[in-house]
Amino acid sequence: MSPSKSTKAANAAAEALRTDQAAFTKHLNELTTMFKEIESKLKPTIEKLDSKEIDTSKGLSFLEVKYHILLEYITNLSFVMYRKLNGETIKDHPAVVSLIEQRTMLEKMKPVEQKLKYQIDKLVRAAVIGQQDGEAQMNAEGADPLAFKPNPKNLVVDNTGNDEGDAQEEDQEEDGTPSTGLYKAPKMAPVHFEEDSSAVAKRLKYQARLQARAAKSRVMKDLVSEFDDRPEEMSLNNDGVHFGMGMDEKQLERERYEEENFTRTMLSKKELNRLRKGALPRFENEFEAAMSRDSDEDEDEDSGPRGRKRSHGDGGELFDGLISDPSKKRKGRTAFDRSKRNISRKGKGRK
Amino acid sequence: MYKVDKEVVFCFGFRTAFGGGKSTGFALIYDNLEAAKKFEPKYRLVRHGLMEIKKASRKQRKERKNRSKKLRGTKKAKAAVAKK
Repeated sequence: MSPSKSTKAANAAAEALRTDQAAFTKHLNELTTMFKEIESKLKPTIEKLDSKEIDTSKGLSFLEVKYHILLEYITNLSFVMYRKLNGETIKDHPAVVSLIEQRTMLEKMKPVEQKLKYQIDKLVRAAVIGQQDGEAQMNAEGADPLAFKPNPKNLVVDNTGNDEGDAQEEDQEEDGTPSTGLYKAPKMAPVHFEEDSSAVAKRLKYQARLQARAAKSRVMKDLVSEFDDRPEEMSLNNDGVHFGMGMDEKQLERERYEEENFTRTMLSKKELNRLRKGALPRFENEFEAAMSRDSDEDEDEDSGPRGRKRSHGDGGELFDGLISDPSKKRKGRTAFDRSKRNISRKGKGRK
Repeated sequence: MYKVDKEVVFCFGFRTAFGGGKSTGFALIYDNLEAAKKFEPKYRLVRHGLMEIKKASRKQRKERKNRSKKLRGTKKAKAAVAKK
């Protein structure tokens, strides 16, 4: 068993060696041909450099670093291969350490290269165009900066080793065309900055309140009724009495609630007083009342509810031409009344 | 309108409209008197005369309350029964 096994292993090893050798020789031949090619291609550039035709002082220093590191890497690698071929160990050799260093540096440079890729491509293209148009080199360089536009993707990740910028000035041209079809006006005029959102909410509420008040006003109602084509409704709410200050709607709401829930709500003292005190007749202004009194069509309706509290006075004969609203009379609350009260205090106000 | 006896009709919650002459309120009509006695609150039954609420005189009620102020918990009930 063991001798056959060992021979089998030996045979396998020999086979592997032979295949490796074949591949190795092939690679070597390829290498030599490649080197010849590179040499032939590089020769003209080297000649140009030597004759100072091309100025390399304005190049990207970043790329120069890359070249240097690559060169060192290749040198170290060849040294390591030489040692291996000679059968010497490469363990703990400083060449290996430097190899590792250079490898890591190269890998770190890779993402930076990615970010610079766009600019480098542009530069190369510019250089190529410049070469092609012999006399228009300056124009190419001048025209191209306008074609450089900033890549917002580069701005997203922070650039660490970006030290170009000496290559070419780039005009930061704004991209003015929006992607969506919606036009958004440019914010040019300065507006007061409201940091506190509650102020904004307050302002909105105030505006909403103004709008509601305007909508409720008599003028609006008249306008609406003028242009509305629905038939006019004259309803007899609250049995023909009209309370001011929005009490009408409250009364209606209360009635509706009571009828729905089969209960009676308790009125506060303030409400009771208000209800008992100031109930106007159905009409909303004096003229309507005067006209109806003259025409005398529904007298029964009027006399009933207004039996007791005739705060307006009796009949239209004594209409004195002043439009006064008893519910709106602010007894003693106007500025005139207050100042009258404060006469004795020489106008200083409430004690 | 509903053709029932007067004794199963219970009305309540009347409110006089402004100026007088009209009052609005609620009315409940039951199928029979037993149902009415079961569902109606006591005060309405008393109004109709179907029930009488017996309570101790006002003075006695107040005395009982003052007695129970000195006690705590279940002793209050005991004291009410005892002293009565």
